[in-house]
Amino acid sequence: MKDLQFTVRSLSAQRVPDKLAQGGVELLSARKTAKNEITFTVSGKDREKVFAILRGTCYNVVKVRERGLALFYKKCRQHAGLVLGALLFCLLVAGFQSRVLRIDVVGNGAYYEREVLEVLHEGGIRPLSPRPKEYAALTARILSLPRVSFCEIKCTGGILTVEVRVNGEGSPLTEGALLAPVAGKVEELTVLRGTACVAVGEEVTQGQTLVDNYVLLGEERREVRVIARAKLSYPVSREYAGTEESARSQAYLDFGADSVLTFTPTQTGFLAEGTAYASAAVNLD
Amino acid sequence: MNLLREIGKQLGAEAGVGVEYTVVDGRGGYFRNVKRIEEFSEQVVVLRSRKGAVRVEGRGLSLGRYGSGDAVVLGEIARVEKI
Repeated sequence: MKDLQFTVRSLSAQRVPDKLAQGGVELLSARKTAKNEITFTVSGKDREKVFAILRGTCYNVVKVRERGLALFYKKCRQHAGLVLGALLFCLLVAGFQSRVLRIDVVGNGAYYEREVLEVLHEGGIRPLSPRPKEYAALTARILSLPRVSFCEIKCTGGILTVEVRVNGEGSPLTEGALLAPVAGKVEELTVLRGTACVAVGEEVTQGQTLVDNYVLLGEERREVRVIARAKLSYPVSREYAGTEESARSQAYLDFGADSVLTFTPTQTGFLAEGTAYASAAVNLD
Repeated sequence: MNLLREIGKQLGAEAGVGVEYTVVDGRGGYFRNVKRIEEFSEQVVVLRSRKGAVRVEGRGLSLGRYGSGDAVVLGEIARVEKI
């Protein structure tokens, strides 16, 4: 049982220890706290005995209080709401320490915020999700974005900060879809972001959408910035006046060094025929 | 305390009647065969046994355990005098 502390005020307060000892109550401590006042401690089991011994005498029991842990428990019971509130606060802090509360994208590549957030969402990271243990895979995906030269992910105090730096002047990305520059056949198609609307080998018309600026996540259609490149081949035929040498120079200048041409002499010069290539890209060098 | 009784016997004192005590310098003292406390303050504590009494003087005196004839006086005991 817990100890109890009594304070007794009386003209003969100093006689209290003897009276209690005669009554079979063992004092644990006693101190004269004022001229006619004594404060003493007994075991909790002797509480009733103390009152019985001091009843009917000229002693005034001024104060009775628990001591030690009993006092602590009593205070906790009296302020149960405060104790529960403090416990709840500690639990919430401990719980949210392990969660991502906010995501910040910083650096001169911060205009990639939408793409960065998508990469994080695909990695299961969003507000209130658990903090990630590994950042390597996410960093690699962000580094694959055009012109991104540096990426660092840090999580401190619930705030996930993604620093993205780009090389060059860091000009903003182009919006919109990738369109076919000429009518021809799709020879190469590289799509980093967006939805391909054509396949390699397909014939397309000039201005036809090759890669559209959306992605499908389940049944949800989400708009994105297109990062893609396409190479098309198309037939060419043009007559050049002058010598074969000048016709070749001009033809390759007109259609590109990678074009495949044959030259046939005509009455006025040479006819260049063959296949030329045209490339188009959006946000991809 | 058996040694104390032995010494008391040699000295011709009746053991278990007068106040027997041990004082620890600066900490307090342990007193046996105490029948009652005649005076109690921060400067003086008077303990009486069946035969005789002792007066304990000092500073910051208080009682530790007291019961069944044993008393502990805590504080800085300067003097213990037989009265």
